[in-house]
Amino acid sequence: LSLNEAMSALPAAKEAGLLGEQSNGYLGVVRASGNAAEVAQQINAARKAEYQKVARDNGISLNDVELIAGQKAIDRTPRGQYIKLNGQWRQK
Amino acid sequence: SDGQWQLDGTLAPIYFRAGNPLEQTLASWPALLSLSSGQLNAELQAGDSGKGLRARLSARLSGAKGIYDRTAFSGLTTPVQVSLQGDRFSAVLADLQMTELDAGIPAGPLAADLAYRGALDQPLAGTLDAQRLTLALLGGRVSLTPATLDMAQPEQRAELVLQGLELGRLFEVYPTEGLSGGGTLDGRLPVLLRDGQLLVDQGAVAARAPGGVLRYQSDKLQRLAASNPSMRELAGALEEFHYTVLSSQVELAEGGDLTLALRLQGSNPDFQQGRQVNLNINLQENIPALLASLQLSGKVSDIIEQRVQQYLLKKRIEQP
Amino acid sequence: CAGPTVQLAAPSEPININLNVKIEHEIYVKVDRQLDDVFDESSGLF
Repeated sequence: LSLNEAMSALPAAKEAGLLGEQSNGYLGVVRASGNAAEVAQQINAARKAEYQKVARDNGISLNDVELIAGQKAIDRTPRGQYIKLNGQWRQK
Repeated sequence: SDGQWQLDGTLAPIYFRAGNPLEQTLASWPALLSLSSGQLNAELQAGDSGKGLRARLSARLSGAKGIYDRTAFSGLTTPVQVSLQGDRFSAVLADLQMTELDAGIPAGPLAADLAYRGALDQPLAGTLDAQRLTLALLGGRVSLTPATLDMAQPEQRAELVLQGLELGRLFEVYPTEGLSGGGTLDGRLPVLLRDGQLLVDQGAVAARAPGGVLRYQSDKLQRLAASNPSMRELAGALEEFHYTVLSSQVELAEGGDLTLALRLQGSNPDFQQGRQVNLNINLQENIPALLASLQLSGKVSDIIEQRVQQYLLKKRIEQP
Repeated sequence: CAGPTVQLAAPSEPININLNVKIEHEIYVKVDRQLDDVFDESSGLF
């Protein structure tokens, strides 16, 4: 599965409730089916590279960037898609 | 029998360090509240003497620690009296004590007497009777003028009174390099609570007589002063500014935008023979950005840095 | 005792300074903006 294929599969996977956003800035598998896990793995790797660049540019820890990203991902998740809070998957 | 029953029971104590069973069982447990430690003891009396269900829960929460949204709190101890009759319920937290709370700026202790009455079908649209709510902050105190708030209304009005806040303590917490000084502040903030947001409309804060001293040195200001005469005056005055008047209007708008209309009067004995200076500063700040950057900027102590992981893990979500 | 001392009186006219200060929390605001691109629909990552 190439990154590009993962990117094109992502919206449907989220819409179907297979993948959801977590507060650490990375995708989580809500329900493992089809290639959901592989899509998440590819997208998370690409996200991590982005976060490392932002952390380097601003001289703050990768972890701080991940936390702001997680906050933003959860804020922007549309109603009906899944987010993980307090360790539980919830539909927003 | 004619359907009458009575039940008396002592519930097993809950230790939140071992996990929070209430979070799974209580549907109305606020999503953004997590308790990491503390103990809850409770007794329940319930029955129906023919006129419908009556229930009384008398509980005691002690030593609770946790996070609500982005505010950490600890040392929360309070008796809780919940009573239910038909579809009406009430919850009384008399003599609530909390040793510390921190939303980016450390505060506490907090003391409160709260009573909430509502109906089961619309639990959040009840009335909140806040007879006492005081919080120690920056060497002084913030207290809520006793009020009864009708939560069914789209917004609620109340008033916060500030007493004896120390400017020196504020500068320790507020991340402005090169700013120091002292003075004691009092104030009155009319607040508006509108869908979970706290707004301030025409608040007023002022320093107590005889005033105090402000010192501000920054290379940014020095560079500006080199090429700009009024900046040179400002830099000269602020180096050692003995103020007699320091007052400000306070507005806190949607999204946490704070506007301070600061008025300062005073002089610097070493600047133009102590010439009187009137300084009007319109200062704009964004509170959420301030608190977030307080947690991220280098000036933050390790403890708060470690809390970033806990703080930012919980973020407000819109109710679905 | 010493002769009359000359006291240089402070200029009577006060200095009036008006200032607008907008506080930008550079680090947080910059990071926040940079992450906006990652979480934009067309980024493929969100």
